[in-house]
Amino acid sequence: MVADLVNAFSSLALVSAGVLATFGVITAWQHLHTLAALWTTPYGVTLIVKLLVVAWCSRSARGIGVGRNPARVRGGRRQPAPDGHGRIGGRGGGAGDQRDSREFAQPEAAAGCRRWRANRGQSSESRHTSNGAVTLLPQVLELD
Amino acid sequence: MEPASPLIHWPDPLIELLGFVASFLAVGAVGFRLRVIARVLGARTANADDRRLLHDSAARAASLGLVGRLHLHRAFATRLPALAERQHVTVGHILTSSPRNPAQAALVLSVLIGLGLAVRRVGSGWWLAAIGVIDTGPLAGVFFGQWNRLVVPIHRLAGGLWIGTLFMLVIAGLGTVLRSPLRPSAAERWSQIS
Repeated sequence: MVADLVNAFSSLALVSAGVLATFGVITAWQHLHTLAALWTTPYGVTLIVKLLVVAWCSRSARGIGVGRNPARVRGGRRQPAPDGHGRIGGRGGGAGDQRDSREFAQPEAAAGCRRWRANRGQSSESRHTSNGAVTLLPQVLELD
Repeated sequence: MEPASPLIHWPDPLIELLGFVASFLAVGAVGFRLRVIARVLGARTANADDRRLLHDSAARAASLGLVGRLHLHRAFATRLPALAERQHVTVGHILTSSPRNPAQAALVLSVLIGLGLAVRRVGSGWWLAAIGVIDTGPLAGVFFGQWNRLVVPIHRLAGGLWIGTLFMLVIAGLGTVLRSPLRPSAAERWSQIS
């Protein structure tokens, strides 16, 4: 049931985020008028700070989603990444985290993913292409 | 030459943040019940225990939303005298001068009554609350042709629907389901993951 709740929320989240972004851009355009105002006015600077915070949150959420693949969770233990750090996305620094999690996820995690998809009898393609943190949660939980 | 006054007066941002959170609670409660729970109830053949859990979650969300709304209106009432003083009018004049205000008062009441009914598990209360949540405040400008003032309210409403529903999903939804004695296996698995 938890998975059903989260899945039901995912579509709402996608639409809401789309509307939020669209009307955010319109609001910013109404206030700024020119691109230069983005860094020359207090409103523009505040907006940049806000966007950076949002970007950081999104990146962290993606990192959590990428890091929690079924094979790792179901395996019950954390396996080290090829570079030995065992890092996952969302903490640490730069593109290296995402690369680590991708390397980490192969091939054992990929096989786990395939097994999981086969067991669930559904295509997980859409889950992997949308909001990672939200849509991956049911995969991690598998509470039904 | 007088120094420029600061752009931000503390604790105004904190008060604003509390206002946002309070408004998100009501919007999130409505989104959680009318979208998430409704979809789960409609999509699966839920048994009686599942339905009871979902209705418990909805009632909990309604109570959280009601608390948020009450805080929002209490904060508004607290600021009203200062607002009247700045405009050099009385509080009564502010409340009765614009034709929008009675409409907004009706919408505010509909949210409070709707969420109150939802707490008592009356289904129609959610729809009453939804009407009030969507139209309360600047969105009521739709009725008065003030289309250009809709951008920011829609931005906030979408943000509230997203973050507020996520909050309700975690606190009211997962919290109720995972703590329920009807779902021991779910709680055990959650413990492993957490």
